[in-house]
Amino acid sequence: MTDRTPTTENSNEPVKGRSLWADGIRRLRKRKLAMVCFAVVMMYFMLAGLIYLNEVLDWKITLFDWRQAVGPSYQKPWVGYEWTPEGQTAPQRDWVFFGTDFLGQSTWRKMIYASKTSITVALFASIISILIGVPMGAVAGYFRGWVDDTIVWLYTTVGTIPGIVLIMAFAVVLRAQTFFGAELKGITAVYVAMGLTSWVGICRLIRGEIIKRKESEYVLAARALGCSNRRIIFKHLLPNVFHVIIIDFSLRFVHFIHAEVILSFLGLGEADKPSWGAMIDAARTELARNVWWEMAAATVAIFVVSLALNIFGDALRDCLDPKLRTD
Amino acid sequence: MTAYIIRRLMYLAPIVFGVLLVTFVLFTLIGGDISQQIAGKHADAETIAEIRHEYGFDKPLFVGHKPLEGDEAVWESEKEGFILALKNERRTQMEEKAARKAEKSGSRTIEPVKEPQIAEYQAKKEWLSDLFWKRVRDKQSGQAWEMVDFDSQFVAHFTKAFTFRFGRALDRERIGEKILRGIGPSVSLTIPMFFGTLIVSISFALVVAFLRGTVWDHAIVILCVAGMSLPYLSFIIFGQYFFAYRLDWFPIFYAPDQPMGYSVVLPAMIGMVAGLGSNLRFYRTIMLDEIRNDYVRTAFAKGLTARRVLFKHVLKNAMIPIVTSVVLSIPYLILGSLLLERFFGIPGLGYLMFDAVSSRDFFVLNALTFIEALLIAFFTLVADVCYAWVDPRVKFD
Repeated sequence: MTDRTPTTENSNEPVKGRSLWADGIRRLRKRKLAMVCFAVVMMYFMLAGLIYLNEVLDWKITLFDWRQAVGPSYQKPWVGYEWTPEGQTAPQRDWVFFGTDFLGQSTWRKMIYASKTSITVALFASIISILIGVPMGAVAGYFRGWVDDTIVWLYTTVGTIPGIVLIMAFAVVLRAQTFFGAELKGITAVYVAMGLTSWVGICRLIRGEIIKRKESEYVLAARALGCSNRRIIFKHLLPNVFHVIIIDFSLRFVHFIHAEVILSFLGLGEADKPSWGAMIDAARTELARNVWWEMAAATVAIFVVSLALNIFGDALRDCLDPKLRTD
Repeated sequence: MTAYIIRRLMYLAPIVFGVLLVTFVLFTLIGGDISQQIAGKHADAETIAEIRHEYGFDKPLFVGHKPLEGDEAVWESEKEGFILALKNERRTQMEEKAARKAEKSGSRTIEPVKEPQIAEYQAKKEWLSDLFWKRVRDKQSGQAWEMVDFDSQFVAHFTKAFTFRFGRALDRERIGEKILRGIGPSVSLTIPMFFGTLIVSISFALVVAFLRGTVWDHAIVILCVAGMSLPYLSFIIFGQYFFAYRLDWFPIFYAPDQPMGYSVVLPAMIGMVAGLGSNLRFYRTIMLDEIRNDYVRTAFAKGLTARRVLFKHVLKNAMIPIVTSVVLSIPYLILGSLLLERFFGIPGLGYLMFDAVSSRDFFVLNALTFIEALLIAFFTLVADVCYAWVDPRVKFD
C-alpha cells in the first residue's frame, strides 16, 4: 500500500499533513528493536508502580515481600534444599529461583523490589531537572540580554563543578536537613540532589533551540497577533522543542539509574530497603565465598533497563530529530 | 587572538565567583555548624566553643563584627535602653491613636493605653540584626559584637579559596598537604588509563568508520551500547575478584612498599575496558562526520588507498575535536577515579573525596570542589583557545 501524496492543485479536499509527532512515531513503529526496548522499559515502570500500589493498598503480594526469609543463608540458585523456617520445627523441602543472601532473603525478590527505588529516583530526578532547566533555558533563549547572561552564568557555574562531585556534595549536605517542615532522608535526598545538579544539559539545549526558532514565521505571526511573551514561549515555542526534552529525558534516565547505584554504594542512598547499588556492594565480600548471584541479579537488572533505554533513546532521537542522526 | 584570550580570562572571574557562591551556600548556609559533630556526643560547652572558634563557626555569616568592649554589661544596658526607647515610641504612637479615636467619637475622656508588648517585635529586630544590625548578639555565647570589618564566614570562604589555605581537615591534617599528596597516585592511575582508552578507541573508531554499514559496524555499535549499559561497579568488583583474587595475577590492594606501577595495572585496565564503549562510540561519530566531507571523496577519487586517506587526511582533521576532548579531560585526570581508587585502596584524590563524603568532612569537600571547578574552568578556556588557534574559521567574538 502506498501513501497518497497530498497535492494542493486541483483538489478541493483539505490537505492533511502529518505532524512532526505522527511522523516520528510512524518511523519509530517500524523499528522492531526500539519497540521491544520500549516494552521492556514500560515493564520496569509497571513493576515499580505495582510495588507502590502493593504498599499503599496492602495487597500482600508474595513476590514483593523481600523481607521474608525463604531459605538458609547463601542458598544457591535453582537447587532444591531442606530447611527449617523460623518458628517451625519440621524441616521442609524448598527451592528458590535466584538464590538467597546472607539473611536468607530471596535475591530475586530483592532485585525486583530495588527496581522501585531506581525508577523512583531516576523519574523524580528527571522531573526536577526538567522543571528547572526547561523554563530557564526557554526564558534565556527568548529574552536574551541580561536575563540570558545571568542564566548562562548560572549554568556555566554549575556545569563547571564535576557532576558526580556536585551530586555527592548535595546529597551529603541535604541529608537529614529539614526544609519547610519535611525532612530529606533516604532516596529523597538523592533525587533532590540529582535534580538540582543536572538541569544544566537540558537548559543549554533548550536555550539553543529557542534561539534558533524565535525568529521563525510562526513566532512572528503570533507576535503580530498580539500574543504575550508568556503565551509565545509556553504555547508556541515549547511544544515545538518538546521532542528535544523527550530525547534528553530518555537518555538522561540511564545516567540517573547509574548514579543512583554509585550513591547507594557510597552509603548515600536508601539505607534499609534493597537497592541495586547495595546488592552490588554486598558482592565485595560475597564473591570470595563463591556467592555470585546477588551481584549477577543486580547487574542484569541494571544492564537490561539501561540497554533498553539506550537503544530506545537513540531510536527516538533518530526518528524525532533526523538532523541529529549520528549514523 | 591576545584580546580573545584576555576576554576569556576575564570571563573566568564571574565563574569562579559563582562556584564559590555555590560552595558557600552548600557547605556553610545549608551544611551549617558541624562543631557538635566534630566534638563528639559528650563534649562540654568549652570544647565546642574552642572548635567553633578554630573553624570559624563563631564568626557572623556575612558582615564582620568585633567583640564589644565590656561585653555583657554594656550589651545588656544597650539592649535595655533600646527596648525602653522602643516602648516609649510605641506608647506615644498608641496614645496619639487613642487621642485621635476619642476626637473622632467626640468623647472627652481619653482611654489609658496598655503597656506596649514588644517581645515579638524585638525578636524580629534581633533576627534581622544577625545580618545587618550594628550590634549583633551571638546566639550561643551571649557575646556582644560591634560591626567594624569584614571578618565574616563569607569573606573567609573567599580568602581561603584565593590563598589556597584551606585549613585543617577533621583529622587535624592540613588539607593542602592532603591534596598535594593525593595528586601523584591519582595521576599515575588515570594517565595510563586515559591514553590507553584513547589509543584503542581511536584506532578502533577508524576501522569501524571504514567498515560503516557492514555487519561488523552494527555489531561493534551494539557492543559499545552494551558496554555502556553495564554498571561501572560491576566491572570493578568482577575484575578485582577474577583477576586479582581468583587468578592472583595482580595485587588486590595497594601496598605502600611496592612500586605504584605494580598496583595500578589492574585498576587502569578495568577503567579502560569500562570506558571503551562510550569512547569508541564518541570517536566513531567524529570519524563519520569527517568521512562525509568532500575532501575525503576527492582523496578517494584521485586514487589514494583507504589506509592513506584514513590516516593522512581523516585523522588529521579529526584531531581538532580529539585534541579538544583530551584537553577537556585533563582536570578529570588530576581528580582521579573515585570508585577505582576506593576499591583498590590507591591513596589519591578520589579516595580523599570518598573519605570526606563518608566522614561528612565539609572542609575537604569544599576544597576539592573548588580546586576541581577551577581546573575545569581553566582547561575549558585552554580548549577554546586551542580550538580557535587550530581552526582559522572560528571567529573571535
